[in-house]
Amino acid sequence: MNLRANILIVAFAVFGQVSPGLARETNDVPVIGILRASSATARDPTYDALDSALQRIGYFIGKNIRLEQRFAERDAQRLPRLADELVRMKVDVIIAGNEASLRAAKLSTSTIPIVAIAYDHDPVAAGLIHSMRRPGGNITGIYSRQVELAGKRLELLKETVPGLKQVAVLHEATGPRPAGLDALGKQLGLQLRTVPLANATEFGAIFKRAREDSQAATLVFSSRFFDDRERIAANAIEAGLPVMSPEREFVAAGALMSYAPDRQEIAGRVAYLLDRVLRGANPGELPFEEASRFKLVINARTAKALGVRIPQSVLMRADEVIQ
Amino acid sequence: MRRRSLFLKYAIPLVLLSSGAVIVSGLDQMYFSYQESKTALARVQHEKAVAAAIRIEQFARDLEHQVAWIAQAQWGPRGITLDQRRLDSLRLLRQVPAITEVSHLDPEGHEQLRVSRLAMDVVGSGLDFSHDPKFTEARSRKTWFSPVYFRKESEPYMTVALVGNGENAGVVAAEANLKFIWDVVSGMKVGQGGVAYVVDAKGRLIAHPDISLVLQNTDLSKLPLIRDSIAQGGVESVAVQAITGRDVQGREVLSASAPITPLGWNVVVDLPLREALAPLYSSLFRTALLLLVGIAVSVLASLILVRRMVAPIHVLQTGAAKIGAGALDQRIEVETGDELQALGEEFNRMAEKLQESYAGLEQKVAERTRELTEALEQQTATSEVLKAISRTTFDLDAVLTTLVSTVMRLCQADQGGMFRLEDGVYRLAAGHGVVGEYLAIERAARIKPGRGSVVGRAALERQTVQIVDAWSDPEYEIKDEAKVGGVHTMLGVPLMRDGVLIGVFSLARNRVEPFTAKQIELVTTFADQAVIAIANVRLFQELQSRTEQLGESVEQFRALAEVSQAVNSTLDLEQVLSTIVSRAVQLSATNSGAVYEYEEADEQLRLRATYGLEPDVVEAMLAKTLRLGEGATGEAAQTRAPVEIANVGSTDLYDDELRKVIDRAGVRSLLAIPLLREGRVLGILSVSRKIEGTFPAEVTALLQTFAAQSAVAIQNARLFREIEQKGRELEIASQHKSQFLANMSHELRTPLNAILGYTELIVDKIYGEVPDKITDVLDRVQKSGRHLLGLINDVLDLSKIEAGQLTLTLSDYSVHDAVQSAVTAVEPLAKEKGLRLVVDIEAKLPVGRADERRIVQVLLNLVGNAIKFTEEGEVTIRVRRDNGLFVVGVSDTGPGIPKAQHERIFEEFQQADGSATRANGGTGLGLAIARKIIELHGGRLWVESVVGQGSTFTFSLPVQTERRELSA
Repeated sequence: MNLRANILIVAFAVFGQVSPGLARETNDVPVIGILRASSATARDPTYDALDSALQRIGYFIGKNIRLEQRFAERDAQRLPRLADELVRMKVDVIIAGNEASLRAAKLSTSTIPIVAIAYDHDPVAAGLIHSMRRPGGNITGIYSRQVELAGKRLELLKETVPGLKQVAVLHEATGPRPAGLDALGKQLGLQLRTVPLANATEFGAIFKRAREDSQAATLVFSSRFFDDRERIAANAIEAGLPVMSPEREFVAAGALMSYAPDRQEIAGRVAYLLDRVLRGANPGELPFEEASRFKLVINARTAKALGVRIPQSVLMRADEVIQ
Repeated sequence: MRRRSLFLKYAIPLVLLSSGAVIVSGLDQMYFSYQESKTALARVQHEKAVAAAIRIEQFARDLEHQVAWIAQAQWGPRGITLDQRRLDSLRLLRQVPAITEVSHLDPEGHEQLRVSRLAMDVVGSGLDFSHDPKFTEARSRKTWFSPVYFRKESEPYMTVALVGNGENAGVVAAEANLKFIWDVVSGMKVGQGGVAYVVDAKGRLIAHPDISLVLQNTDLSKLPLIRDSIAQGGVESVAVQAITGRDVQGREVLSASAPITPLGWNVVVDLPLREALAPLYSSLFRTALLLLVGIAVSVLASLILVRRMVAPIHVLQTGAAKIGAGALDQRIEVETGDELQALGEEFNRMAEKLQESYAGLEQKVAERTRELTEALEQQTATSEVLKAISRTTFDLDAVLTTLVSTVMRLCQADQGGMFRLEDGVYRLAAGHGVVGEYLAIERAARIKPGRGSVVGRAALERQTVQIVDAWSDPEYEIKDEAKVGGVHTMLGVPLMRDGVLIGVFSLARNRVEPFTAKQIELVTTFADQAVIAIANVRLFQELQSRTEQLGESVEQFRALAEVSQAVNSTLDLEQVLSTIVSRAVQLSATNSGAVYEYEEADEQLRLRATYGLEPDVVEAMLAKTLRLGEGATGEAAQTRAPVEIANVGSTDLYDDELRKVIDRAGVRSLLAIPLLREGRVLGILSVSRKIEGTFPAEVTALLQTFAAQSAVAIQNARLFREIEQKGRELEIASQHKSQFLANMSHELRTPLNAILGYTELIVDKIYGEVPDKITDVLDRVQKSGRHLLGLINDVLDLSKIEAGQLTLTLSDYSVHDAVQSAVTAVEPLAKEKGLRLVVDIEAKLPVGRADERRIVQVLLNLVGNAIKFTEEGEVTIRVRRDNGLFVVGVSDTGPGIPKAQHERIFEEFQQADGSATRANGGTGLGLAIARKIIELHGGRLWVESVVGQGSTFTFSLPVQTERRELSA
């Protein structure tokens, strides 16, 4: 009798051992908190790209993942409070889109993972992470190398606009003044004049004034400029000023050209990092990645309107020409 | 234990034998299939690695070709321009995304052009790279793939340097981002959890689907797997072999590698061992399952065999055990037809023998037990009866019934009875089992001692008698009754107390079966118990009746105390009489009662108080006054003695009208007691009942006591009424007096004013010269007239006050001013007598409210008196405030007033000393009026004085006088 029972027990033990590990199941949908400096009404294609990148690796917003977005409406002082709000909600991961957001998020939590999209800054130089290979703390992300592209943009601008002597470098008044312009100007043989912008209504006047001594303008990346890109492009054309911009969307809005990191690549890497973090990887151990693809976009219509002939050497590099 | 060891002894060798063969063959099969599968798996893995290696080699070759294309350009005068080179480079960048930078070195190794995706282009930097490996290695090898390096320590890069053909060929070096290889490795599917990755010649990770590992610059050379791959040195190994080991995450993996020849790299394909071996395991599992089934079958077969051998032994063992445990009718059934069956039969025989010897023993035990049970039953019954006796001493029936029923049960009698001797005959006191007609007969029976009945016979013989069959006993006389009751055998036991017969205890059976000697003894014992019970009950009843009598007396004393308290504490006659009648009714245990008062004047009785009567009856009684001799009440008043009517219906004391009232009240008998005081009838106390019958002597005695109290109360009340009457008359007389005085004074004043007026005119010589002699007389007339006027004014004031006609005219005033105006008026008098007038008024007195004129009048009176009665010294007026009152004191240094006079002087027409009046004048009304005025204000006036030390008259006065009812 007992032997029979024993056989059954042994058999069950053997079967039990073989059965594969159960798939992880959770009732709670993971929540991604997004901390954004811009206005809620502004559309940022990075996040559209992120949406599709997430879908590619099996995350569907509203189904197996949920977003909690917080917009500072361009008021950087609101960011700490919004970051705290996300932390209090106990979101699973926070996406921070610019330096101010990342700084606010980093101050709010040292436990909730943060995936940074370092768009307007070098995170190591800004002191936000320890190193690219091992960022440390609860932060990982991708570095767009936007700030390294200033020289390349001026070079492309010089190549495109014949007889370029002076360039107006537009930057946000509240943001940092772009550094190293003197060296760049010397290297390219250009006069670079920085023009701080305090509010959006200034654009028209600024461009008109810039046109008096400068032959072109370039924009330092800022989310405010990004939100106001339509007005910038319109005012630039009105002033007859070719503009080199830091994002494809400026060109789509009517700026002459842009040279910028590939948004698709960045979104793909962010989705990848989110996936890793949600699966429990330690963000401080995930290397902070770098953008490796850059896109040159030209607006042929604007070129025509401004009377600029795009030279072959530039045109052949263009990844996209908007007609 | 024995069974198990026997079972195992057989089972173990059998099971080992049968399953051993199965296990050996199964394991053999499993081992070989495992080896074969593993080899096959390794081959598949290796092929995957080779495929990946080819693709990555392709990537490297592509890079090489693309760079080679621009490296062909010549330097020197026949070469192409830098601009051309730049355009070529830009095109290269455009075509190969992996390349981030291209630099052109001239044949001397100097950099002439650098085109970058991120940095600005550099033309003619002239940097010397002639000793840089990318120049020297390219020169010597034509194409050089640099070792992998990491930009910013995290991005894997490689330099591809090529030298062009021809004399003036330079070197073109391209920096390629190896992240692009990632597309190749991450695109490879290696099972579910497997990966393909690339390591360089030093074992560092170059490409991995988890790019983090690459970016972390992971060194895998320590993994034995990689070490082996590197050791193979990129040479295609002849023997395809897969290695099991641990990957970088520590998982157990099956891995295979393939070299990428031109680069010296290796592609490694890892598959988690568990996944790789999953099909192998499932095949092994099936085999194992079959093996298990085989083992199970052989084990089962062995067990069944052993079981068949051991089962009959088991049956034998259980059977023997049961017999051993005392189940002697147990038989062992073993049908094996061998030695075991014989053994079983031996056991059965043994059990039979045992059973026989037990049977005799059991019988003896049963008999003994029965005897014990009977004894116990008797003991129990006795104790029950004793318990019943002790518990219910006052309930004789219950005790006797218990006794009878218990004895009947013990003696198996069908009927039983307890007969008690009362008045020379025996009557049934308690019965049990006696029913129907026979019960009625027995209850009615009055049995005398005699041989005709069992009770009579026992009483006659004073000892226990038995009649075996009443139906055939020649002496038994009441055979018919015995037949009604169905009784045959009868037993009679006399109940004796101290040698005196008090009853008989009889038992009967509805069949002929004489009681045994033991039963008779038992009945006798119980009879003694019955005697004790009866005696107990008699004692208890006596005690109870004594206690009740005592209680009643106490109750009567309490009622009397209450009544006398009522009589003494209140003069309200109604209340006293109500208390008396209610207590009388309660104590005499009657239904209702009434008190009538006798009026000697009209010789009639009037109702004063009732108790326990309906309101309409009371109303009818109130309406009817009784004359002497009318009804029991009238009769009692006439005879001055208690009258008792035992039956209202049979007396002629009532006329129709009275009878109607009595019938309505439902009264059937009543008792009337006269209330006598010093031989006179004051009234009647009567109680009545709703049943007929005489009243006990105690009740009559009790009610007479009550009647005496009632008489006192009525007398008290009458005296009080007379006093009240006299008081009222006096008050009216006093009022008349006051009224008369008021009128009188008024009437007197009018002519007096005329007298004074004319006298003054004469003195003022209006009617011509007046001789001095007459002037003197006229002065006296004026003085006397003014005195008379003052007297009349005082009398008028007093009478007004007494008639309640004096009203205060309240207004705000200053005490200071009031005192001052009084002082001003009397100052000349004081001066005339040479007295000092001292005024001492407390500072900051509040404004008061009073009738100022009257207050000044009081002050004038007091100060005037002081001056009047003081011959030398001083008069002091002192005003203080004390707790919402003004306290005004007037002190003098006069003769003083004896203590006895202190109150009298405030009465009308009184002075301390008659002689003083004569000397000083005054009406003797001033102080009386002053006191009244102060009292009207709600204040008080008093005197403190010692003869020879002066007097102090003090009055207190509320600062704020409220309007109040005047009460003179």
